[in-house]
Amino acid sequence: MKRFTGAVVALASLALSRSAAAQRAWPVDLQAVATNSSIRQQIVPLGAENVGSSISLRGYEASLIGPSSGFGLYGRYSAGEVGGASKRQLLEGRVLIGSPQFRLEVGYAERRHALVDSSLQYLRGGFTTTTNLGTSGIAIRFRAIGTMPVKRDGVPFNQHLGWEGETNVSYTWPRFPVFAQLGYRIESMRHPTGDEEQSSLVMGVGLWLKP
Amino acid sequence: MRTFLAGLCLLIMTPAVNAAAQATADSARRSPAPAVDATAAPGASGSGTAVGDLIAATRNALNDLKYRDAIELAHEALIQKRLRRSQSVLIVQLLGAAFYPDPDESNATANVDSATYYLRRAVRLQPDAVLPEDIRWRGLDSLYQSVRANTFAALAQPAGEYALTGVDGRAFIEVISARPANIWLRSLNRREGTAVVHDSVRGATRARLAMRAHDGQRPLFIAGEYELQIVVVDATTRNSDTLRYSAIAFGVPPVLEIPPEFPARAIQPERARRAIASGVVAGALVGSLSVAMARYARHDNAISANVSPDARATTVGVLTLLGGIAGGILDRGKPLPENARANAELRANHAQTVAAIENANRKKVGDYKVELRIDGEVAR
Repeated sequence: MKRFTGAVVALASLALSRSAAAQRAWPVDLQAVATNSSIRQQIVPLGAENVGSSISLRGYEASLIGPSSGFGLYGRYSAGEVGGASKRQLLEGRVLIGSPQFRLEVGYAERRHALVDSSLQYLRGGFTTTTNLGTSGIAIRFRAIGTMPVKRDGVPFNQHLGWEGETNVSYTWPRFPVFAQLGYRIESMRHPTGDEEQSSLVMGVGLWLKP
Repeated sequence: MRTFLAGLCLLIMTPAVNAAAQATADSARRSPAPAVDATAAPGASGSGTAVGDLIAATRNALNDLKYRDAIELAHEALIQKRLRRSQSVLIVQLLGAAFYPDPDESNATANVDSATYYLRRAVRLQPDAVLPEDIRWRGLDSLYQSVRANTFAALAQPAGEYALTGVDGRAFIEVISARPANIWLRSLNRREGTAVVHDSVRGATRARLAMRAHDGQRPLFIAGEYELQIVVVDATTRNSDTLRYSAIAFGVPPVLEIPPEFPARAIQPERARRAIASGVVAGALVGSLSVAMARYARHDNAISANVSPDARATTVGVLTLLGGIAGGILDRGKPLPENARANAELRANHAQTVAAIENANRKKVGDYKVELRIDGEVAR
């Protein structure tokens, strides 16, 4: 965590040293953001009633994509405590193909959660669209991702398909490439141990260098 | 120049100027054509022409105290074509004398107004001219000097020939005015009827007016007949005097290439269109998706049956819509550097083309030569 914070600070310093203006064109699309997700989670273990809980996760996300190469990487880490007892963590990596405006994403995620499964690995694939509204600094993003658990215990994969949808609106300061975002994310998953739905209000602050 | 200055002295001298000074100034002429000496023989002024004969007859009539005959003869001489300036001066002087006879010699009635009119006309034609000896008497001298003191006039001394080159090879005409005056030098193309003002000064008694062959855009003289006009207007009384000279210009003006107009239609926008439409559309679409995801994109299971959709999605959806609208309004149009570069290149190429043409034109204009021959002053 400290290393990641250091990396964000280093990037910010780099941008500052170049007298960065948010509206200047950078050779890459680089985004690093610290997030706070307020999650409302509903879980239905097999053969049981649904259990609702609220989780607050803090974490980081970073993405880097070269407009000319069309390839990039995305990483996400978040962690928090559920009910003050069990810790939940999410670690995810994706490969990005496309442009900063529209990109396909394929990735792998691992989640550790005490109530349902000690460790859940799943594959993810989808797309993200980002609309930068000219020089206003405002951007609107939509992401749709399908998920599939890696361990299905013999259950056909189409019965375990889940998905994640995310929308957010962000504002980048014109004088310096820092931005703030507000978004909504919903995740619906079926895995061998039951059904799950997470609805999140995601707020974040970070650095965004735009090409 | 000495005679020219002497002419100015005479022009501004009081009526008490003596005959010697008049005789000295007599050699100063405002025209390249020599004025008639007042003491010249009658036949000499006319050079054997019909005008000369009429002038001689007028003089004889005056000598014989036949003033009515003299007036008729002088009027007939005055309407003759191609009068030289000196002849015009002499004729109006004779007319002035005919209207103002010496009462000691004749009982004829003097017409002071008519005499004043013709003597003023003589002064305006040639401010430094003196009355011929054979028509002078004390009263006429006095009247003439009074008229001269109260008549505004100017002197000019153009050369017989000028060589003008380009926009910088100027020729000059010196003009001297009796009183501070506004002075213009202009040329009138007799064939086309167009006039060009070459130079002017304001409130001056002495001016050196310049002429050029070309002003950089158009030729000021082309081959043909001209009338050079020096218009002198008294700065105080607004009395004016116009000196006119016939001139012939020789020279073939250069044909200048016209620089192409800047292709304004080829200019591309250097900023993208404002993102109002895309902001509204994106905000509405993604905002709606927030709400739709929370309400409809859920598994059909116990969760969707028991738990209502997350209302925070609506908040985010509305904020996304508002953000899209605000983004569209705040957007000034994204800079389009490729278009800006293309436009800059287009401007540079056009400027280069124009500069090349202008340089070529400048050289042509610089080489343009005009020979201007002053053919003499036009009689007034």
